Amino acid sequence: MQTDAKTPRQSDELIVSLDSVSKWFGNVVAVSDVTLDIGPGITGLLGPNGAGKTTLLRMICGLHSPSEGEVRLLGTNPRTDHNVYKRIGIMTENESAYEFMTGLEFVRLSARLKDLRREESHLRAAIERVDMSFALDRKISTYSRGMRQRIRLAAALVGDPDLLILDEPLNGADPTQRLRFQQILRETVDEGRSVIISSHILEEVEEVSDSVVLVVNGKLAAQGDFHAIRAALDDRPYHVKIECSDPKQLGGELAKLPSVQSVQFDPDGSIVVLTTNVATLQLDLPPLAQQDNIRLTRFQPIDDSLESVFSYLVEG
Amino acid sequence: MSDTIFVLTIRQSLSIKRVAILLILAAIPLTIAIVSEILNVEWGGDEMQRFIQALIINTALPLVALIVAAPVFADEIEDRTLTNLMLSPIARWQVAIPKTLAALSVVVIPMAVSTFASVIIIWQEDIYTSAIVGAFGILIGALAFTSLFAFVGTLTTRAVVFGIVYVFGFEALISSAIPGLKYISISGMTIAIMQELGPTLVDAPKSGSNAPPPVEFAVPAIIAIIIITNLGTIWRLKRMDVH
Repeated sequence: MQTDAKTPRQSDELIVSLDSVSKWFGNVVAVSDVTLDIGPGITGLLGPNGAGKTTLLRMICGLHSPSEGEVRLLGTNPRTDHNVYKRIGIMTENESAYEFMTGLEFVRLSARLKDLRREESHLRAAIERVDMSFALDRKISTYSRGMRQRIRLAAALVGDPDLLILDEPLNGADPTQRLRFQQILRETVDEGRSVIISSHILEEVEEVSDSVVLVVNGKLAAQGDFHAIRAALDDRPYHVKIECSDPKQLGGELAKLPSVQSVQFDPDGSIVVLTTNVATLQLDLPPLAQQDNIRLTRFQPIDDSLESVFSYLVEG
Repeated sequence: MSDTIFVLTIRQSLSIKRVAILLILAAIPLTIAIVSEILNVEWGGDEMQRFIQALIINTALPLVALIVAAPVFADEIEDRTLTNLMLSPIARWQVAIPKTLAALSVVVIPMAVSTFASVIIIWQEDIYTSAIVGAFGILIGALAFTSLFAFVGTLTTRAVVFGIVYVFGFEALISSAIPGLKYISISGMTIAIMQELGPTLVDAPKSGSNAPPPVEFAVPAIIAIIIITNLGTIWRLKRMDVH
């Protein structure tokens, strides 16, 4: 565990610096003239689907070269200085893992690629941290989506990186996993590390982010303190999609919650809840399901209203 | 780190399906040789040389190299697992070279063993010299083919389609039909080098469309192909946008 003076938080090192960065693919402009600095702590990179978050993160990570402008990651150009990856754990959006490997082998590979000949106990500790010890000897091809995300997070955590970059890490996670994930992020920051986390769902990063970068249509829409931006959203209700083993029973119970405005049943068997507070719902849901012996399989905020807020912010 | 990527690539290359195809292709020359021996078939000099040139160098070797080397990068790009390597503190040449060498190992071992054993079974003179030259020729040809197909795999995820057209269209047909094209054929260069080292193993025509290039040309040309394609792979890894 690194908590020495070199950690970004303690040295106030600039984590990311983008200077007039643009990226286009043929005639399509994915990111347009973004200039921003990201400091230590947890930063949420937010924007609706297709806003350019992933392209921006890929440029920050060095996976994409900018068409114009300059990207600095921990003070260096990641496209040419690959040693920077020794200090970074990255979890990309796609579920890229070697299917033929076991979870333990995948985490071990990640350590060895960073030239860390760690003892098995370190690898197992990283896996334990994401609650995947029960499946560490199973092949990744047998993992669910949420399990893949967790083993990839373990691989990103190995080596105690100064900076974690996570692109849509909560995709496929159930409510319990989301809470555990947020807990890990808090622990990470408490240890003096920094995190950049992208999401198209504001609520996902609300609990953990110190500051937020909002991206809309490939442009920087807003950046700053999370709570100031969040205040603009307080009156807006959110839709949340829930899949479970007994939708009717759970829907009835959900309707009684004070944070729930309405409950609808989708033809595909899922429940769509309109809530004024996703975070509270997220906490209330697991015990509710447990008391009626209902199995939860999905909890996904459908935060379409975010786009209108982004528009509001862009238009001033 | 390089050994990690080497071992990773060996594991990727040894999927059950791929190993089955690889062993079948590598076993064809050996099977023919064993059956000939059992049936006491007498091989003429021309037949033996056609066996080496047409069956092994022109067809089996490039096909095996294609099956193993083309997916080395193409599959990683398509499966989006290349990010695991590209986001590691490793110079791009340390990604490219171990992967190509791993593919080379998977190609060479079965092909060289098969060729070596086939020559020992059916050759009548200079048996061991011919067998060693045959295995060495496999190594040289495999290095060039593997480097080429691995490079193509960084350019397109349809590298196997390109390779099939190249192997059957160019190496097996066009380069043998049009005079002069053997100068740019990896098989032609390989045969030229093998002919120089073991005239009893390979006695290709000196003129005509099937004539390989002179060895003075073939050696630098095949080295150039190996160097250029590997540099190309490294260049692509440095320049590409990884999705």
